[in-house]
Amino acid sequence: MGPLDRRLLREAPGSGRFLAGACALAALSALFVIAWAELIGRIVACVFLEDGDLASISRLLAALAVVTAARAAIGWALETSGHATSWRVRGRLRRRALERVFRARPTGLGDLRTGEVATGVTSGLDALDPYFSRFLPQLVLAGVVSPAIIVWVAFRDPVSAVIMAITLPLIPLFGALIGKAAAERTKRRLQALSLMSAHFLDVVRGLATLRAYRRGPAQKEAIARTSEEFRIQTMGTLRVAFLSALALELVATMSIALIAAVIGIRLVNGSIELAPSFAVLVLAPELYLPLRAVAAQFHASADGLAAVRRIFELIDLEPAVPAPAIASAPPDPSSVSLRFEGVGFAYEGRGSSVLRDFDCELRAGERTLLVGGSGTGKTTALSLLMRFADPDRGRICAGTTDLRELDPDEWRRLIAWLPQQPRLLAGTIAEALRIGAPEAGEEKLWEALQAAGCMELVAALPDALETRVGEGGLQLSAGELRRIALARALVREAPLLVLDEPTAHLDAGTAAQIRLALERLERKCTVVIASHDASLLSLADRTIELEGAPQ
Amino acid sequence: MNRSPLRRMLVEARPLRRQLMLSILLGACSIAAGIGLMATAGYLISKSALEPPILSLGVAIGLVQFFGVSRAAFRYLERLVSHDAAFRFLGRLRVSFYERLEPLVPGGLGTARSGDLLSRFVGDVETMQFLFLRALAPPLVALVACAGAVSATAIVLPAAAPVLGAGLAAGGLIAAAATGSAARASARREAPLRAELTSEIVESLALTPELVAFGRVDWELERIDAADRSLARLAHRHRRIAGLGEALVLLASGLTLIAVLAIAASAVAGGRLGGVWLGMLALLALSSFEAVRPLPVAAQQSGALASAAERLYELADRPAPVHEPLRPLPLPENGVLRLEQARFRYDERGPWVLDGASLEIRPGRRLALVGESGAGKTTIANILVRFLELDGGRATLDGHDLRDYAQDDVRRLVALADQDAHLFSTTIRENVRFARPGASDEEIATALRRAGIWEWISSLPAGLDTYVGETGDQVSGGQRRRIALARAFLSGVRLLILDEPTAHLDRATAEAVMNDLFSASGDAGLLVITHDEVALERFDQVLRLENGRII
Repeated sequence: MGPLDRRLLREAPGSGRFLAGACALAALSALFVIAWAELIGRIVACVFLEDGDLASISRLLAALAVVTAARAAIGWALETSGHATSWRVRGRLRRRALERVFRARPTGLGDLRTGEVATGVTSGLDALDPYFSRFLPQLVLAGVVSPAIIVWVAFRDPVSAVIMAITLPLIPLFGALIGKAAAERTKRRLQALSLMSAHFLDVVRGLATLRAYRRGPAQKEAIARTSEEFRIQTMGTLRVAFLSALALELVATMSIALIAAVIGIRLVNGSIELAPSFAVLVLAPELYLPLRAVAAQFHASADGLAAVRRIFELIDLEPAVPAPAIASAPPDPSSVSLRFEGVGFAYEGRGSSVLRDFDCELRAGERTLLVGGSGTGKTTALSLLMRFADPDRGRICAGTTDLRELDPDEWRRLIAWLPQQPRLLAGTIAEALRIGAPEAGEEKLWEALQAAGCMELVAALPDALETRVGEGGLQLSAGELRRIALARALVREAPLLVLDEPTAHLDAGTAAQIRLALERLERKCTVVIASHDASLLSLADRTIELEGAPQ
Repeated sequence: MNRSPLRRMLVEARPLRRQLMLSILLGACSIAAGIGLMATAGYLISKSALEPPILSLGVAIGLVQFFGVSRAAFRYLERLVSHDAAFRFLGRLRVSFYERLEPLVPGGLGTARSGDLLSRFVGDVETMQFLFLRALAPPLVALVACAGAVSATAIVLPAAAPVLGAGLAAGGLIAAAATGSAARASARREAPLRAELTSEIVESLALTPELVAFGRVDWELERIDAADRSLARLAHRHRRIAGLGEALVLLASGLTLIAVLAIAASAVAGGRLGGVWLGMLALLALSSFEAVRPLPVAAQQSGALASAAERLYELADRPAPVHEPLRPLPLPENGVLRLEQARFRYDERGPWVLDGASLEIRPGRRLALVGESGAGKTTIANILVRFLELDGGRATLDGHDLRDYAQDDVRRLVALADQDAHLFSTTIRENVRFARPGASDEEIATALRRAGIWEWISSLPAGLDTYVGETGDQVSGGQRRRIALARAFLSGVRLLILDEPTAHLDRATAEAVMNDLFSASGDAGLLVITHDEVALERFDQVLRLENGRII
C-alpha cells in the first residue's frame, strides 16, 4: 500500500486541488529556502572576507527577514489548508458512508454495529487530519524541495550535490528496509500493548465481581507482574525498532559532516568560494528535513488510510433495493390493488425462506389484516411492500406495475408506516410528528393526534406540541409511544397505510385504545395491518392468514 | 490536597527520578551534539576559507564527525531510557490507582454508569505513560540544551548570548502558549460539539427505518452536515492558532539569526571578534532552535494529561463507602442476615433510596425481592454484602451489627451475583474457579452442572478451556448468567443473592434459569432480586420494595 490512496484522491472533493496547491507552495518554499541559504552565505562571506560592516550587510539582512517571514507563512498555509481539506474530505466521506448505511440497512444495522459505524464516521475520521495537514505536505515538500536543493547545489558545488544525491535515497531505502523488519515486531508489540491495557481494563471492570469473591487485593500483584513482563518484552522490541530511527539520523548527520569536510578541503584548494560553500552547508539539513518528517509521520499516513478504508467499506455496501435506471410513475395505491404474486424471500445468512410462493391481494380502499403466528412472515411481507427489500422470487404489483420498476423513495412517499418498534426523533413532539410530513401545519398535527387517540395526552402537557420527548425529555410509555407513532404516520395523509403489530406488547387497556383509534380512521386509504391480535379482526374487511414457509 | 493533579502525578514518579534525569541529560546531549555539528561545520568552512594547511583542519573535521555520530547515538539511548522509564511509571500507576480504586467499587461510585466510569479510569491511567515522554521531558531537555547553546555563545561573543537566549525563550514560549491555548480551547469548546455530532449520528442510525420509510434520509444527512460544519469552523480556527505557534518559532529563529549576525558583524568590524567565528555563531544560533521545536506538542499534551490526571484523582480521592472494624468479630455460625428499618441515600441531600426497609434472609429460605427499576433493590444487595453502609436503621448478621465484621468475612458467607456479573477474558474454567482458588475440575464441573450449563460446555470442542472472549462476548446472555451462577455455587456460601438473574433473557430462558436455580441452590438461603415476575409462586416469600420500604 502506498502513502497515497488513489480512490481517496479521486473521490474526496478538493484533495486533488489541495495536492496541486501544496505542490505550488512547495515550489515557492524551495525557492525561498535556497534564497535564504544564499543570503546567509553572502552575509558571512561579506563580513568575514570582504571586511563589510553592519551598514554594508543591512540590505542583505532585510532581505533575509523577508525570506524568513515568507517561509514561516508558507509552512502555516500548508498546514492550515491541509487541515481545511481534511474537514472537507471527512464531511463528504461521512455523508456518503452514512447515506449508504441508511440505504443498505433500512430496517436496522444488522451485522454493522451502531457504535462502530458512529465512531468510524466521527472520531475514526480524525485520523485524516494529521494525514492531510502533516503527512501529505511533508511528502510534497520531500518530493519538491529536496530535489530542488540538489539541483541548485549541483550548480554551486557539484561534489556536494553528488554526496546529497547518493545519501538522500538512503533515507527512504533504510526506512523501508529496517522499517519493514521493525514494523512487524512493533505491530506485534503494539498488539501486546493493547492486550496489556485490555488486561487492566478487564480487571478494573470486573472489580465488583472480584471483590464479591474476596479476590480484589490478589489482583494487585497480577497487575504489577504483567506490567513488568510487558515492559521487559517491549523494551526488547524497541531496542530493535529504534535502530531504524538511529540509522536514518546517522545518514543525515554523517552526510552533513561529510559535506562539511569535503567543502573544507576544496576551500583550502581554492576550488570553491566561501559564499556558496556556506549556502550549501546551510542547505544540507534542509535537504533531509522533509524526508525525516515523512518518516516520523508515517504512522499518521497508515492511520489515515486505515480510517479511509473502513469508510470505503461502508460506502461499498450494496443498497438494499436498486433504483431502476428509468423509473415508472408510481400508481396511486388507494385506487389500484396491490398483489403479491408467488413471492419468495429469505434473509441473507439465514438459510430457510420466510416467505415462499406467497400470493395475496390488498384491494384498493380496503382494510386487510395479515394474521399468523410469529415467524410466518407478516413483517417481512410488509417490508417487501415498503421496499426495504425486494422479493427473491415472484413480484409485488401495484395495479399492473411491478414495484421494482419504481424509484423506492417515490413509492414510499405514498405510504404511511407504523413500525413494530417505533422510535421517535429526539426533539419536540411536533418535530417527531413532522418527520412524517415536514410541511404539516399545527392544525394537521392536532388532527393526526386526535385520530390516533392521543390528543388529550398531548394537550394536557404544559408545553403541548413543544414538549421534548426521548432522552432528557418526557418518557413515554409503550402505549403512548405507539399512539404518537400512529399519529406520525397519519399526518402523512398517504394513500397506503401500513401498520405492523400496532397492539403488540401492550396491556389490554392500551391495546383497546389503539384499536378504537384504528376503527375511527376515515376510510379514504388502503390499510394493511399485520397482527397476531385476534381482537383486531373486527376492524378488517378481509383477513389473510400466513402459514409461514414450509420448512 | 490542593496541589495540582499533574504535580501529584510527578510525586508518584519520584522513585524513577534518576532514570528520568538520565534521559533528560541524554536528550539534551543529543540536541547539543546537533548544534555542535552545525557550529563546528560552520567554523570548519570559515577556517578553510583562509586556506590554512589541510592538517590544521584535522581537529575540526574530527569534531564534526564526532558530533554527527553522537547526535544519533545519544538520541537512541535517550529513547530507550525514557521509554523504559515510562513503562515502569505506568506499571506503578496501575498498581497504585488500582489500590485506591479497589475499596470504592461498586459502592463508592455512586449511581453513575459504572462501566463507563471504569473504562475511562483505565484509559486515563494508560494515558499517563505519555506524561514523561511527551509533556515533562521536552521542556526540560529544551531548557538544558538552550542553556548550553547560550553559554557556548557567551564564550565566543558575550553580546550575542542574551539575544539568542531571548529569541529561544520567545520562540519556545510563544509557540507553546499558542498551541496550548488552542488545545485547551478545542478541548473545552469542541468537545461538546463533537459529542453532539456523535449522538446525532447514533440517534439517526437508530432511527434508520423511519428515515428511510418517510423519505427523510437527505434531510437527516443535512442536519448531520450542519452539526459537522459548525464543529469544523471551530476546529479550523483552533488549528490556525496552533499552526501560527509553529510558524512563529520559525520566525523567531529567523529573526534571532538576523540579530546574531548583526551583532557579530559589528563585532567583527570593530575588531572584537575574529571573522572566522561569524559563521559558527550563525549556525549555532540557527540550529539551537531545534531544542524548542517539540514544545508546542508538549504544551498540547500537557493539557490533555492534566485533565486526565484530574479525573483520576477525583475518583481516587473519594472516601471509601465502607469502613473496616478495628477488631472484627469472628465469622458467625448461622448466617441470619437482617435489615431493620434500614435507611440509605447516595447523597447527603439526595432522596432516601431506602426508608425503613426490613427483611431477613437465612439459609434454607428462598425470598424474591421485586420492585420497579430504580426502587433500590440493587442497593439492598450491596448493603447485604457490605459494599455499602446504612445511614440509618440496622443491618445485622446473627444479631451483631454487620459493620462489626470484616468485609471479606461477610463475603465468605454471602455471595452476590450481580446483574452484570463480569466474565473475565479467559477460559470458562478460570472464570468459575476464581470464586474458590484451588477448586478441582470435578468441583467446577459440578457447579456448572448445578447452574444448568454443563451440558453445553461439555459439548464444546475445548470444554472448560473455552475462551469466553472479551468481557464474555462469545457467550450468550443466558450462558453468561449461568456461568456467574456456577461461580456463586462453587464459592460454597450459605446465602446467595442474585441480582436480576433473568434480565434481558427471553421468557423461556428466564423460566429455565429460575427453575434450575431452585433445584440447584440446595439448602443455601436465596434472595432473588428481579423486576420481571417470572415463576414467583415457588418462592417462600415475595417481598415488594416500594418507596424505600418493603411491603
